[in-house]
Amino acid sequence: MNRSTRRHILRAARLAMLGLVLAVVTLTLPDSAPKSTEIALVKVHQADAATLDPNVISILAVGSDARPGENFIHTRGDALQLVTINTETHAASIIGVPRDSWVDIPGHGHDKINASLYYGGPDLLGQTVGNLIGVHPKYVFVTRFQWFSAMVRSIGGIDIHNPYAFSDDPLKRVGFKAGRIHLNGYDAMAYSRIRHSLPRGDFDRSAHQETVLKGIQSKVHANADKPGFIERGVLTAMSHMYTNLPPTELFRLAQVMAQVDPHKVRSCVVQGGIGTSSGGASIVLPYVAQARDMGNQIRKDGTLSHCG
Amino acid sequence: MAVALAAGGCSSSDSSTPDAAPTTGGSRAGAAPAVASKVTLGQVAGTIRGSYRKVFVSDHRKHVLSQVGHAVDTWIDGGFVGVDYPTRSFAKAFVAFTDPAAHDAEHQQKLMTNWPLGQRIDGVEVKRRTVTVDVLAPRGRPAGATARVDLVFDTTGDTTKRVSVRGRLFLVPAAPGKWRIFGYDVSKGAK
Repeated sequence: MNRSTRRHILRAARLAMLGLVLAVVTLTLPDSAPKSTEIALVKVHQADAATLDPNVISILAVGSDARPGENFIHTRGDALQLVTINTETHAASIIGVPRDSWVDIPGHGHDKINASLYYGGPDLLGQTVGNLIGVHPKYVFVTRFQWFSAMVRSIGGIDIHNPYAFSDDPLKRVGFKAGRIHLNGYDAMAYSRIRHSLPRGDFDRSAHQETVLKGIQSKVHANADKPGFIERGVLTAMSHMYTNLPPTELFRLAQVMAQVDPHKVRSCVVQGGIGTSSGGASIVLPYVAQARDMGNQIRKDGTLSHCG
Repeated sequence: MAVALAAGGCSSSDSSTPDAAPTTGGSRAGAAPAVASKVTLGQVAGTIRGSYRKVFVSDHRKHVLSQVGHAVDTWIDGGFVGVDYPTRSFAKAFVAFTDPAAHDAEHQQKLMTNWPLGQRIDGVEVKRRTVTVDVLAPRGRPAGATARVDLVFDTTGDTTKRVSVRGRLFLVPAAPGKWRIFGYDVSKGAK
């Protein structure tokens, strides 16, 4: 039998957004009550929309370290990943930004980049990250780490390739082995947050976050053809989401994310030097030229050919 | 994963055949149009509450099935079984697609239509033609659908083959009473 298979999602779906992170949106969680707001999807001002390929959508995915009771879209973002999807080729890229990157936050002077979420919410954070990379996300997606864990748990965990063994006390005393490993919900959270025991600290942590995102997307992609999978996932996400987007757009987004080919996802982390702020805090001095080179790459077709 | 899905608790499964039709039929030059697909309701997300279910069943269920079924049938008919063979033109295959979707489908004619086989046959005989529709319906109101398509037909004429087309079409409501196909994940085979 001659068989040919094509997966296809359309440019119409550029209304859509999420991306790999939308994995979070398309997954099912117990529909328990009461429902709390655990994720937010915000459309932000996009100054350079005209320069982007119309098939390309960019979403800034943010992991918030908000404690219970805190407004999670006005705290410090602990994980910053710019996800870009080409809706025609089903390729995607992820650019990680170390949270301690020392940058100019519009209207607030120099500070760690993750402080911009605290100062101005998703809009300002999107603007600040966009200024660094040169591509402003059209959407900002924020989630609490607790939700993140629950989401990964709900899909039965993820499988990833861990390049080297490491551990952390107190997050993961027994550590993670090198090689192909399975991460449950807690493990995925710990793998994404551990920093102190990593050779390259914040940079390695950012790379780990990308690894987890790719693992989630791959799991969603593998399940997308199950009857009702996307529909249930969108519905569940809606019940925990703050957004001004209609269900129809969320549905399109979810399909866009699910159609991304896991083999066509490439990730990079913006590198930088280590410094100390005037207040004595350890900071990352990001290599702006490298960040801009990544931005120039994704502006063309949403993909990364090199990390620079 | 199946367990997690089952635990979702916000979906229901139902089935109906509002547009039920024979699963055999076909198209030959000058013959009557092919019959419609057998359309059934699959998973529905958003109707766990009785009030939402009532809204969906009373106000939307029948319309969703008929409208989604109609959109999918325009593709099946225009691309495969409702065509006057022999032909190399499938001009009506993508009328229910959004413009970008139609543009891309036209560049994948070998997958999304009966091209190039259509030039060497004089008709088709449908063996199976079913569409199962999963619906996203927050509070019972449809906002998106996935149509799972299973089409099998035999070609007649100089070239006789059994062709199977399977996959998913993604749809959203557009103008009142109409759904549009904005994406697809389709496979096609012939032997």
